[in-house]
Amino acid sequence: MPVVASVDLTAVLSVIVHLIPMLLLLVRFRQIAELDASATVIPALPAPGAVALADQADRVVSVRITAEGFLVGGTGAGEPFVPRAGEAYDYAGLRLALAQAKELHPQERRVVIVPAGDVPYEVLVDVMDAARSRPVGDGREAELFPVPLVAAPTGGGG
Amino acid sequence: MSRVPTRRRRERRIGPASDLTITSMVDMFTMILTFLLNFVDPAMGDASPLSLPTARATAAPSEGVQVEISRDGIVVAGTLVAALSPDGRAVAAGVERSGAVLLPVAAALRGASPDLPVVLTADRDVPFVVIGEVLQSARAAGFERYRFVVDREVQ
Repeated sequence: MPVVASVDLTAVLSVIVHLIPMLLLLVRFRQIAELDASATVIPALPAPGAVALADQADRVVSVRITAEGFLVGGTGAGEPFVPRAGEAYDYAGLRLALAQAKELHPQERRVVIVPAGDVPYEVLVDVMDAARSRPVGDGREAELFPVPLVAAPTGGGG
Repeated sequence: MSRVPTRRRRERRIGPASDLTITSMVDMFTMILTFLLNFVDPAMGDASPLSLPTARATAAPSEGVQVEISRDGIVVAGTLVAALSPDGRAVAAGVERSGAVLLPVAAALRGASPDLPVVLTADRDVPFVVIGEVLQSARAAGFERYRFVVDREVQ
């Protein structure tokens, strides 16, 4: 007669059932995404404060990020300044200025972003994100400038 | 000498044992446990060395040459190639450079295929001067495409 070995798994199951809620409390689920900056770095563009971008402000759509706020080129009105709203940058104001630039350059998809050296990476990402599209109601988004060109510093150190 | 009750006697006394097979349940729970052990953050959430910026981007992570910038330094494909200054506001003074190109970063990237994008994972507080120099170094190594890794904003 065959002998059936029976392993009692109840204790194992009990341990696992206790471990799972404990791990679920510790686990931190993240949704990772990527922002495409497939355009080249433009070494010819100087850091903020220089004149090259200002000279062609109406032909090139650009956002210069300074510690005080944004300077938006390509709006047809020089380089309007979008100041910080208190501690935070005014991304709604930036989208508004970029929407004006989009009216002037409807075919353009690129925006040159020139951050100052001390601007945190988070602000650069937020500007790239804000420049991609803007909400137009009913959950819809209107495209602005989804192809960012990040102008890197040309000099040393910083 | 007391007699140990056999299984058959026990069954006779308390009725037929419920034949509940828990093997598949244990299998399932073991898989869940393995999954959770893989994905649980050993830093318990708060002390994570890298705090990514958040964006509305929806592009899925892609294949590329991984470059990570944390407060400790610049890591290319898993190897620390350049340190940051103690305050994390600039690349350390001892790192060899040519203009804005960081030579150790460019050298580390030269071994990878420039057809792939540079996938940049950086702490949200790293100043742009460091990011810009890494981008310049990547460009010097022949890379033209960059992807910035962000935490996807939950809407």
